[in-house]
Amino acid sequence: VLSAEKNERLTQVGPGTPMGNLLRRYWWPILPARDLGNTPVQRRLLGEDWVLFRDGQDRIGILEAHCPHRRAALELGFCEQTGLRCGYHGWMYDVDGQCIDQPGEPEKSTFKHRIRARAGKLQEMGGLLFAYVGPEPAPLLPRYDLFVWDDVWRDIGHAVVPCNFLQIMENSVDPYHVEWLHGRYGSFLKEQAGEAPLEMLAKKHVKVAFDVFEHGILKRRILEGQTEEDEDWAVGHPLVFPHMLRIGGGGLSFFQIRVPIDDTHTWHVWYQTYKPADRAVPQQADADIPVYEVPLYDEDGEFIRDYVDGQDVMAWVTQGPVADRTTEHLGKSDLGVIALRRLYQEQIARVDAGEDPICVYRDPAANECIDLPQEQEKFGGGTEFRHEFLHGGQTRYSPMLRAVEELFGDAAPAPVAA
Amino acid sequence: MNGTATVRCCPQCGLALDGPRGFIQEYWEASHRHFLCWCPACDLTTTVTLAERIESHEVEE
Repeated sequence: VLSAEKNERLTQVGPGTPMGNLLRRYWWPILPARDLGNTPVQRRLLGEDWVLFRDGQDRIGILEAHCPHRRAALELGFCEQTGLRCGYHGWMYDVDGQCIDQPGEPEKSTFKHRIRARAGKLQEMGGLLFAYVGPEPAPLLPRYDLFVWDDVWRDIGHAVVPCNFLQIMENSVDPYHVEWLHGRYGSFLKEQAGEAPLEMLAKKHVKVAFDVFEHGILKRRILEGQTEEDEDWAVGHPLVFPHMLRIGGGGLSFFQIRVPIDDTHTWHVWYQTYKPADRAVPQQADADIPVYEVPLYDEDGEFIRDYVDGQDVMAWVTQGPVADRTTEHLGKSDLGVIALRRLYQEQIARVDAGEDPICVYRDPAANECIDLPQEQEKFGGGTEFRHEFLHGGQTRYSPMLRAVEELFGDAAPAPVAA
Repeated sequence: MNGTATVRCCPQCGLALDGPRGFIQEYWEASHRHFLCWCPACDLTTTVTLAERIESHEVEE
């Protein structure tokens, strides 16, 4: 049970809220980079609307969504050589938000010098655009390993999930759900469809642990038949504070990134890298990174539940737009969830005290490449994990799935029995 | 008694934890009620268990 006040404190992300203040200390993915051409794009982040644009000199910016003049939507403006021009009266703003042209004002007016649109910061990394909309001075954009490795293939799946970000993050420190939601329930659905049940994901958890560390919370697990020598325990994998899960195995490594759009919607990004241990990877330019939408519902409006991420989405969304934690009943298997809530509360207090929370980087030397721990022999067998996950996870929607299998030297999967 | 009891203060420094800055999360283990607490003043993380009875020797697991 959590009090209603504490539930609001941990789930409300808008400006001026405790969690909103914390989350505004971080950079957030906001758009696949290839989706920002010479047309402005409106996006919602942390309960506020923003417009992204790329000027004629390839500079990128993020401004408040409405023109400071008469509040028309800047999304309906157009990009020029030095900035974004509002479609209503032609006022133009540079990437810092400074108004640089007011065509209707007297020629010698200095009015424009006193007009500035609220601006965040926008940077490109690994095929994504990242936004910072918090207080100055902005920290460095963290160069987590998967975003900056130069010898991998990548693809990016994404979806808007209609629920609060916290219940999605809590799923990432809930190891037991794997053997039930994906193992048992997933196998039940597969058996109904005449397919073979899942094996790796159904393994029983014998022991789990959660270590709060510099990157967030490191998860460890021992499955039936394993010991503390196995990588699932000895290495583990992290929840990267405040918004990512790092997971993978067998050369597949990915982030699940949870971007709060507002209190009841989350932009979920699945950011994959593919890196075989035994062969070189042909060069892939950032501009060639495939981006695909992950469908949540079938043609009847039902959750697509026959794969891992669809089952997760079903569990997250059916908790409600914002899970009512005043009526929950937590047990000992929920200690990871409790540890995460405590960590958010602790970091909110740090921000209140004027300090940087964890995972805020200001030293360039510490930000060249932030290496994160992650087991490769996942669930006791990395290759088997990769096989099961590529088709049993949302990567089944990737337009380069077959190319990835060929990259690893995997055989094409056998046709599924009707 | 224990069915309605709760934890309100830090066991180490006595700060009230049931306000916005403290953290108390209740969870259960069999009939035992546990409260994981974190204190923003002294940074103590601890678990308080409300005991239904004082037990001596326990059965080996």
